[in-house]
Amino acid sequence: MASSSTNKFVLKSNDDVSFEVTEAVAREFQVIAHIIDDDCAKKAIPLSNVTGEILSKMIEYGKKHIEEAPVDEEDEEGKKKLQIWDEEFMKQFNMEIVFQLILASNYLNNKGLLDLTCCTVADHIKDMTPDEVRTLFNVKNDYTTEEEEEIRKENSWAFE
Amino acid sequence: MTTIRTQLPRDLVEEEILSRIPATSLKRLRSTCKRWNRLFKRDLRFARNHSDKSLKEFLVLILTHQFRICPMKLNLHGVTPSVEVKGELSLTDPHSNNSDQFDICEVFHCDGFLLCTDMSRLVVWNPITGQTRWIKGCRNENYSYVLGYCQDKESCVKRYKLLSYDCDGNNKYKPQIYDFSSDSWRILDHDIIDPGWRITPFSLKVSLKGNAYLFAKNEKNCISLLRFDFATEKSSGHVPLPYQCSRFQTLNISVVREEKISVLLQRNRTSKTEVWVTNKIDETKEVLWSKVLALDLSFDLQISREGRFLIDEEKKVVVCCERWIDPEDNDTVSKDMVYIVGEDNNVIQVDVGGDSSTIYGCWPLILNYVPSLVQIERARGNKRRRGD
Repeated sequence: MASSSTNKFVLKSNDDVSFEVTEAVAREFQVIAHIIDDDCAKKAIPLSNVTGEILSKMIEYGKKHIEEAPVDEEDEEGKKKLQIWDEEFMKQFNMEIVFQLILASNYLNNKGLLDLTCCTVADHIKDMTPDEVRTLFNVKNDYTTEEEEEIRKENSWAFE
Repeated sequence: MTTIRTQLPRDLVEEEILSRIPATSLKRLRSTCKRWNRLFKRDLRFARNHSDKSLKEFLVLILTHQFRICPMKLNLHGVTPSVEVKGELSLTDPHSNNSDQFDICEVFHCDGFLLCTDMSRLVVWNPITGQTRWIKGCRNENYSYVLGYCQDKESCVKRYKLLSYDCDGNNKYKPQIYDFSSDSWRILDHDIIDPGWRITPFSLKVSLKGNAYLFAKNEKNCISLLRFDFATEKSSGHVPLPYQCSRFQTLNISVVREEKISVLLQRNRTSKTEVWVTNKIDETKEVLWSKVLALDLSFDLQISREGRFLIDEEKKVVVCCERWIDPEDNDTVSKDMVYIVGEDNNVIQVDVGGDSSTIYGCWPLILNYVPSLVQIERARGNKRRRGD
């Protein structure tokens, strides 16, 4: 049996873009790892919920995390290097793309990327007003003006 | 703001995104919608998820001479560090008909909870969620109180408890444990401390990773830090101080970023004031001390045994808080002072208020505070209690 670094798989996006990746990179996505384990990965693996644009970014992330994986738990320098790369990686995306990456990493089950993308959103909204957050997540304001004002007053925080 | 076409499912938003937002920001976002208000205020599952995923915030609080707790903004960057005391956090006294504020005489921090006491009452309070538990019985001037928890290894659920012990260290009054789930006190029939040791009278104390740390002394006058374990409800060992001395002029304790312990000590009036910090406290590892600062502090600063301190290990800056009393006229002039001292021994003094016409009022106290959504478990058999 070929080793996971030489064994290749083809991942196919929902807009018909194909990516050839090593088994190790493919296994970065839990859902794909299961498909491989079930031996259902003879041909290209179709990913019906992911566009080519998003999939290429996910593969880029997966590759980097295989190539530059910290040696062990104690490898603080390795962890730091990867963390800096992660931060730079996320800077290229607008929120629309970040949201799509969240959906895709949730769908393909890559915990690292899900954590990273969700942290990016959390960081983006932590200083937003409730109104801005409602728009972002399409949340309906079910308070009356008086109720909202009361909750707002009750929770005004002296640190701000 | 540009509209985003992609919508995230509610589960993902709540479990993966909101759970990573700092507790203080969530407090502000409570007015977004009713569901979020409930989620951030009293949802045990969300609170646990949040405590696992969110980054810890480290804030500073000050207990002022007016018996109020105020956030304190401490800026140690730049040439001139600055201190700003913000508006008080509201804790309404449930026994007051006019919604008066509870007068806090002492405060103790554990895991996002503040244990506040006055002369006759005890309350455990989470200022972020607003949840309180007014503790019945046991408040007695002969007792000191510490809050801690034990954590179930499998479920990771924390069970909070209060320990009350004889503040004189004489053990004349039996130690007692208050359990939040039963909402009652029980007397401990075992010694909480090893034979030959006693808690030093009016010992300062901190809570770290659920355990309480207090100063204790043995028959040979050897002082060490006693670790009280809330699972076994007794001492689980001692942490020796960096060096021994039968009596310290100043001996003080503080927690560093919820992972280390720091002591500020001075042997006598003429010796240097030293600040020592441990490695990360982990019960499996030996505790090692390293000296972060050795300062020549003027006696005029009046930093006493009780003056609390905080240490910024990276910047090598210590922040103390004390009531300063005019030595010429100690009946009339006093101020609450914050002192900021770095390696160069240069002391920056900031007057943070206080009534200059009287020395009475609450003794100032600064403390680290880590905001969280942590919940007080509801007492069994009590569906809802007043103040819960």
